[in-house]
Amino acid sequence: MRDWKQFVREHLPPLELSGAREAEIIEELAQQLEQSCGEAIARGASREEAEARAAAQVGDWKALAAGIRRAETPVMRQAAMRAAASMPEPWREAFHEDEFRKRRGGNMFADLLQDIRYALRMLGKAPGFTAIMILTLSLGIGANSAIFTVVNAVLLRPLPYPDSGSLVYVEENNLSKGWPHFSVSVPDFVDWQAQVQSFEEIVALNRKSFRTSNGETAEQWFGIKATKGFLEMVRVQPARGRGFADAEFEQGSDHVTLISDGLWKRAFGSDPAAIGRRILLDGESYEIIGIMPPGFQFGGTTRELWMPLTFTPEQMTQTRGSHYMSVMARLRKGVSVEQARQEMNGVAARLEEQYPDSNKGWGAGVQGVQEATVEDVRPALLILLGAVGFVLLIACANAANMLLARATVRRREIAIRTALGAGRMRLVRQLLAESLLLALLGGLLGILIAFGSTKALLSLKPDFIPRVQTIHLDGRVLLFTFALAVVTGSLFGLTPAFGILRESSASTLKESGRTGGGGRAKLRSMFVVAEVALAFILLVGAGLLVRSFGQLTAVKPGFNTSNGLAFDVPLPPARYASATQQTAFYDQVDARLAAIPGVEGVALTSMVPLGGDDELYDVGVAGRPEAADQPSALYYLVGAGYFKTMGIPLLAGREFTPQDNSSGPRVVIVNDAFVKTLFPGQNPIGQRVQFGRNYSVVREIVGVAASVKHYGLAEPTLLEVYEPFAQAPRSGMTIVLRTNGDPNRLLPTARQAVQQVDPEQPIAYPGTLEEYLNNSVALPRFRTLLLGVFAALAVILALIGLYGVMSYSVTQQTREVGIRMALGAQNGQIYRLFVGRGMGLVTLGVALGAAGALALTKLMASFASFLFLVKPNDPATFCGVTVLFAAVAALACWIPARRASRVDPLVALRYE
Amino acid sequence: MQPELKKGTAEVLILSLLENRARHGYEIAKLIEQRSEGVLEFHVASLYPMLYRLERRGWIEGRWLEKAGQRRRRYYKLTAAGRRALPAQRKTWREFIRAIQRVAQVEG
Repeated sequence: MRDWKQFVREHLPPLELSGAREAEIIEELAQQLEQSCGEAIARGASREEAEARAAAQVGDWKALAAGIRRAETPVMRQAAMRAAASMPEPWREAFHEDEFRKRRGGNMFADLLQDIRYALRMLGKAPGFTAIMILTLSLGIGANSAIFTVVNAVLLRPLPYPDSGSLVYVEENNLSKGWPHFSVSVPDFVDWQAQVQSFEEIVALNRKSFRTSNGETAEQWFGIKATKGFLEMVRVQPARGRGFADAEFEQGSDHVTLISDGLWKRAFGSDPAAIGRRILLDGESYEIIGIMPPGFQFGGTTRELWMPLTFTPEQMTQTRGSHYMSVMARLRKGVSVEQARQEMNGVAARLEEQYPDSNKGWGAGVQGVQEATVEDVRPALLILLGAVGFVLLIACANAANMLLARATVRRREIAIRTALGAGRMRLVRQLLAESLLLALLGGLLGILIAFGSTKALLSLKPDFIPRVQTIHLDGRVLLFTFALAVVTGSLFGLTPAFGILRESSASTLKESGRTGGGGRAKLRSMFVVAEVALAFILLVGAGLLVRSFGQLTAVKPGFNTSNGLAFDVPLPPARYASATQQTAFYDQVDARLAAIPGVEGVALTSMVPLGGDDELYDVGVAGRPEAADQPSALYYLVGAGYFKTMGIPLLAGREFTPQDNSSGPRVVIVNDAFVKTLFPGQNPIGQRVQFGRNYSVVREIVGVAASVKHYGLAEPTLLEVYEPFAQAPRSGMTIVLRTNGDPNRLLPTARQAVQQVDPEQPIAYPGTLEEYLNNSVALPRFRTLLLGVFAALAVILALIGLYGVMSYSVTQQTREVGIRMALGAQNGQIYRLFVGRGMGLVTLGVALGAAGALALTKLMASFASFLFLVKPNDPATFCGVTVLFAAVAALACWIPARRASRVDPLVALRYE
Repeated sequence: MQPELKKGTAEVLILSLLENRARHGYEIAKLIEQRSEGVLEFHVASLYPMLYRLERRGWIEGRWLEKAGQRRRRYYKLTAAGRRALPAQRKTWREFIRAIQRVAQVEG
């Protein structure tokens, strides 16, 4: 007698089950064969014949093993094996699926095609459902792709220099005065360069604009002057020509420049002979030594000249208190930002000891360039990313809800297919194929939405976003969107798919969809609660930002922003070297501008409030001993009539007049904060103060002006001191015009007026005072607007979800409603039934949302400047949002309830 | 018969055969073949996976039993869940067969 166990063991491929279970199965199969063999012999067959017949019973051993394996393996492992099917050949070998393939008469690919074809047919049969699903998903995915596009360009993509991760800014700071980031003085930089070991290169940079003229039109070009090692630090070499020679970092031989590829094309027609040519910048001759590669940027898109920065001997030793340069460095290999920071702290402390007069209180800081570049916008972008994440979750919950509702309708279809022998995995795969297809279509539309909304976003001109010009859809965004669609599709597709499988297939065939599973209804309600909670959190966040923005814009800037125009008139020092020349030029321009019809006032100033420039000096009272913490004041150099032109009220004393010139007594005007700090309770008029470069010069206060907001509406008021232009003239001034109509209309005339005085003199940075104000709140406006849009989107999606569930439950309970009405229920009771049920879900969602919002808005408030004069738990916002939400949610419940109340009892009782 | 159809019917057949008494695998296969007069024939390759599947689902339960003078055998019996599922399965098939009859005008 043959050993059948041995026989089975030899023929059956490994089952990959536990040893005991496998042995059990082998034993059972062996008995089957043994018994059928025994019976054949009993019927008279020869032993050989009987054994052969029994052995042939199995036929396909591989199929048997695969069948057993499938029967014995939990569903999730089967899913993993399915996934393995799409893997490379050697991996797939590990998961024998021969039996499966044979039965289908095809391969996995053909199956996939079949799934997709079937899915398309099913979706095509329900176009309304399909359209709403795709729209919902595309809104969620599109919003994410749009924000990711920005995040990708701004936060993720490295700066366009090799190894940009090791580039750092080195700054000075004076924490006792509240200045965490401050420019660097030349002597301090020179000492750093000599002493610090952490850096491969350390380079001081100075922005500079140049006037240039081709004889007809005057233009302004912008450049960066950099000390030795600049090209080595950025690790970019000129595409044509050469880099700087060491000798060119000596005073006198430093008139050479590299130009951008763009400037080379624009101004020199890409002529290779441009290298070696000399150009006139601010009246001085510079030799072009090289052209940087296309796309090279340093210092911003407008910077197109890079030239050596050199210092005079006295600059290197005498001007330690004059901070005006930026410093960038490349970390030595293996040195961390933290190590560099520590070394810089030590160096700064030594300098503080060595030069207490100028360096007392001054420290040094090191910050990664990438990190510093995005410092201001990172919190806003991360919050927006979180917000769109919420929107996507809501969209997913909605999609899952719709699939669940649809699954109820499709129960019969699925029951029949199960009864006919469709495997569970086959069904799950089929349902997943449908949801993935929906998600991918949604993703496709989402890309379009992202493309459109990114464009719309950029049309808001968010210039405060660093590298804004590099924002575009790239491969990474497409990949992100694709991944998002797949994850989304699986997320919302799996729940209903497994829900269907859990149900006994047989019990559903007969039933109509009316009494759908109770567990499923609970699941759908939970989804709605989650949606409401998420949407509520977003709405609270948006509400807080809107309130905060309202508070911010209610702040008065302290000057009149309507009908004001400002532009720079930077005089080249080479041609306007003396104070007399400078005053003469601006006097003439002033007179011509004042003569333009429509101009009501003209004034000179060294800077415009909210314009982003600043100049600060320590100030002291003449005759008083210097205090340890000498206060600093913003320094404005302004022309006669400045306060009247700007609309800054004078609180005491007088305005500057043309008589406040070099031959008159030295005078100043200060602001009320200045008086409060230095002359509390005294009459400031006639008091004498000292400040600035000529600290020894004593000036007399002749007027007190109201404060202006200099750095921003949310910023605290600083001390301000104004000096008349004619008593300290300089070359780079801004002109402010007050007009009696649209100020932009007068810009061309104003330009002509300037060029009538000097035909080679350009004007730069024209802008209305209104624009200055708007730009100063651009970032808060941007994030408020965006979060508002996302919150609105979230609320709409959540309401759709709520409406869907309510309207579905009305349909389900038509018969119940009919009975109640037949028994005498009034319309009002029916309303109460459904609206009450829906609002119960909303109440739960809002309660959860409020708890989440309390936690998350605290996080939002922890980012500086996010909330202005609004507490993160602002009761008004929470109440307002709750009322708003309740109102729209009640509407979403009321519409289906109304349908229920119109049910005809007779029809309803027959309803099937 | 079509393999898909056969697989679908197998469940109800196995459950029905186990309704009144426990049986072992070989017996089940033989009974199906005999009672269907040879129309339905289950090979080892499809029968055993089906048994294991039903066991996993908790509708049937296999147990090793030893009778005097014989090797131990694995007997399957209906569980409470299987007993509850059987009427629904039968009903489904009754519905289905009637539907086929009505549509395809097959004589009953």
